[in-house]
Amino acid sequence: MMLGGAALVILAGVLIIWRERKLGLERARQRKAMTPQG
Amino acid sequence: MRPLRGIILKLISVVIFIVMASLIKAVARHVPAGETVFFRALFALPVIVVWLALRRELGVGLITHNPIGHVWRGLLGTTAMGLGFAGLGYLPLPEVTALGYASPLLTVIFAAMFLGEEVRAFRISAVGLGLVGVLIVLAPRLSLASGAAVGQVETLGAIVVLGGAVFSALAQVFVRKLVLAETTAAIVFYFMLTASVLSLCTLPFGWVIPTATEAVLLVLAGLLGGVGQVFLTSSYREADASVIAPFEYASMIFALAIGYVVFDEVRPA
Repeated sequence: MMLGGAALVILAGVLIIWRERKLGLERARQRKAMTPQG
Repeated sequence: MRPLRGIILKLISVVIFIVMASLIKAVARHVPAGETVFFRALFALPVIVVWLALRRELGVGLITHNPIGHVWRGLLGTTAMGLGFAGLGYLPLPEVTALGYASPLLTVIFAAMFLGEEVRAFRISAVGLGLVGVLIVLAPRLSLASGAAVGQVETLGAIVVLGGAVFSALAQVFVRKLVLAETTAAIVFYFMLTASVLSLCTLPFGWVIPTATEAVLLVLAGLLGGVGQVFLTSSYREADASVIAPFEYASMIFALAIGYVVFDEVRPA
């Protein structure tokens, strides 16, 4: 039971890290697109 | 960027921190948490100072523009550390480790509340899923959920560890603000410094004279904490945080192994 709960918490943590990485890459792309105009 | 090197450094830091937690668990029944935090923080300081000196960051790296910010971060982080250490005395190592994983989930919530970070459905759902996992881990410790008489000590331990996760998440949110103007060296150094001073304030509340073995374990825990911090910080310099961070969860494997072999902990039903 403890391991099942821990697996869920770990899955959630990994999903959040993956999502935050994706958001970070999107923000970096947007910044890059804006840079030539300043 | 050298991701493989970063991952190896992170895994080494995970092993070191679990060994440190095991040493603290070994003394947790006799030595109060405040005293343990003091040893953990004080003996980590020289390791960090030597490391910063070797990196030539001792002078410039420790300049701070926000000393009060470090005190607040120290208060939150020290409380989190103390509660986590106290919990080690009540619960098996893998359970404390699993409940500690609630911290990054709570960080998402607190970052939205206090930093105004935008959190949409995907991350909210992930946090919800994770908190269900936390409840499942907690269930055997809560008499209402398990339907059985549960030792008050274990219930208290679960609450204490969860409280530690809450304070750890608050500290992380504070660090997100601090990093905008402060160096990593300053954040690490001043945390250990404030933790040493703040934990010393618990001296009148029941500190004990450790036995020779306990004293060795406490000093070793502090030194290992410092070395672990060095490996952890170095790992994040080698690769993106998103590559490194998931390897934190490897700690469960080591916690299970140490819990089983060293502490003879039986997995709760």
